[in-house]
Amino acid sequence: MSVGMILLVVLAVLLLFGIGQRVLDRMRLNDKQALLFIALIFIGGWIPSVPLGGGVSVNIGGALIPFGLCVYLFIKAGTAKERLRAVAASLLSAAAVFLVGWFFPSEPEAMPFDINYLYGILAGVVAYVLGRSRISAFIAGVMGILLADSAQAVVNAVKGLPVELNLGGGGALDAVVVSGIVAVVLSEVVGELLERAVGAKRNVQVDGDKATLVDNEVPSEETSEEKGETRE
Amino acid sequence: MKRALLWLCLPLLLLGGALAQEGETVYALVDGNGELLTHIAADVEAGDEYIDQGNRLFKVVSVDEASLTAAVELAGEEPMLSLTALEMGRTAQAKSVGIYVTHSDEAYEDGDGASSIDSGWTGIHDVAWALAESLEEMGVEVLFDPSVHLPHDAGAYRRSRATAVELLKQGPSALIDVHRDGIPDASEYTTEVDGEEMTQVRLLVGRSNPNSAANREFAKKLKAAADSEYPGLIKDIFIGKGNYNQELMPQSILLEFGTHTSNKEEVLRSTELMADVLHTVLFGTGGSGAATQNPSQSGQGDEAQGENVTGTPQGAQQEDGGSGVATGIAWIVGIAVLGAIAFAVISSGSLKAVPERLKRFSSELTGGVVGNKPEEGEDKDDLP
Repeated sequence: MSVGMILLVVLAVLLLFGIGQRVLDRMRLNDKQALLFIALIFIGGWIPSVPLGGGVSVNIGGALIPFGLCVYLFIKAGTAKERLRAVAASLLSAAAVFLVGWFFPSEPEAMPFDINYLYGILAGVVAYVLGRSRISAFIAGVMGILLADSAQAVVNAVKGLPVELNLGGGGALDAVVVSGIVAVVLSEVVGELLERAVGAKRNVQVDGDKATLVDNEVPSEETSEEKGETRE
Repeated sequence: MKRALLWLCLPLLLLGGALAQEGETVYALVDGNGELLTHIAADVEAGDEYIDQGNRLFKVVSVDEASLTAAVELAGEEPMLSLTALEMGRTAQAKSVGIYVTHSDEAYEDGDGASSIDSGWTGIHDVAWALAESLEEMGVEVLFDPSVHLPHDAGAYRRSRATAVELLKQGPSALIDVHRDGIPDASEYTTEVDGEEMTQVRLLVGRSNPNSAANREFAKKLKAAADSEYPGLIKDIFIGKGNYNQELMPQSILLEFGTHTSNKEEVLRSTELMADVLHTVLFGTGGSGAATQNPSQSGQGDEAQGENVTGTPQGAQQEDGGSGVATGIAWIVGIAVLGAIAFAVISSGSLKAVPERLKRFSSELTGGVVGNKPEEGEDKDDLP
């Protein structure tokens, strides 16, 4: 491979790496933790998938690390309600991913956009509608793919199809990772847009006999969490 | 909660219903004179491109969904390369090629008994295996992964992505996804090369990926080599929407060996020649005797020394399709910059604050080497 081609591939990975680090940084992880997880996903993705037996294998970077991160975020979730939202968003995302496989066209060119991003967008929308939570979005994005793939494997097994299940086999470029990142980016962008729209509205503040026009504050992490509307 | 669920399900069902198709849709590509160029068994959209056997480049300008007709206009002659120019552009490397099959159900009615078989190893695996064997006979290490990616649904390419990545880890010089087409008329694929009846091969390039330009260069090299060694073997190149996992590697290609109504024996015959073409492009001539002799013995080799098939100077050729790589790099950098600016605008709410936010964003990503470091105690969530 030429230097140019290596540069092209490295650049694409760095872009994913950079966005991934920013995404994790937006959740309850500090810079070092975010970088560590991204590095583990990247390195683990290049290690051959680990066979678990029964035609099932799991990729360390593409499935195991993202799954571990989901567990970590789930445990660190502030409230039981938030955990419930993450579970509901994951199940709904999995159902959406599964349905997409069944009902949408089989050829990539017939899709409105790249199928790998579609899952992340679905998960992001599901998580945002359910709770405006970045943590839920990430968990839904990752778990949605893992659960849908597992469900498809069960269907294949019932049908007697000789299909092996390789969870996260695409490593850092697998839909599991891409979906988690896209879901958070989407909830972030949608959240920012909506909150910006809300924050732009001006209210009249009455203080004694004085009335002044003030800008509404954009909801902060703290105030949202206090209200039970966690926005990690 | 119930209302939220309804809102979630409705767009999905509507979109799915709108996109759902029964069977494979076949579009006719028709030029401005009403001449039928070819059929494409895939969704065709305005902006898609088509390079015919004579290297004419057509662009799809509109699609009539009712008549399944795509109107194309001639965009000129696609610059192609000579075999000698291809030799110059090649780098010395280990002979290794990765081969896999995304649509594991694809088969040939005339040979397998059905066009789609959900059983594991099918007709398309036979074709991929024949291609692998031919390459191995030429001294190429073939990384052949016959993994099954059933069902043949919207998730097939996602599942085969894992297979492609696993192959990529072993460092192949190219990744080949073997398919068969779905157009009904087998005669569109029938050809005769060196007096033997066989099927043609269509090259498919996905234009929705950052490696698209490099993939296209690779496809053009394959066609140029085939046109020189085995004229008529490559049917055409279709550059359509989608990525087909081709963003994983610049030298990725999707090969359509005949169509579902083609005679399987004729399909298998074309794999040997296609293997030789791949060998020529990736590792140089010498794959098979015929290929080594063809350019000079036919008299084309001498003529092609100074210029390529369409007259582009030989020196213009860059290593590994350099122009495609440059385009890919520009694409990725462009996306990154535009994405960062868009997000900075969204999160700051004004254009004025964008430069400051971009400086901070750069600083955060580079550990303070580039851009402004946030003030002590400043909330990082204020950053874009």
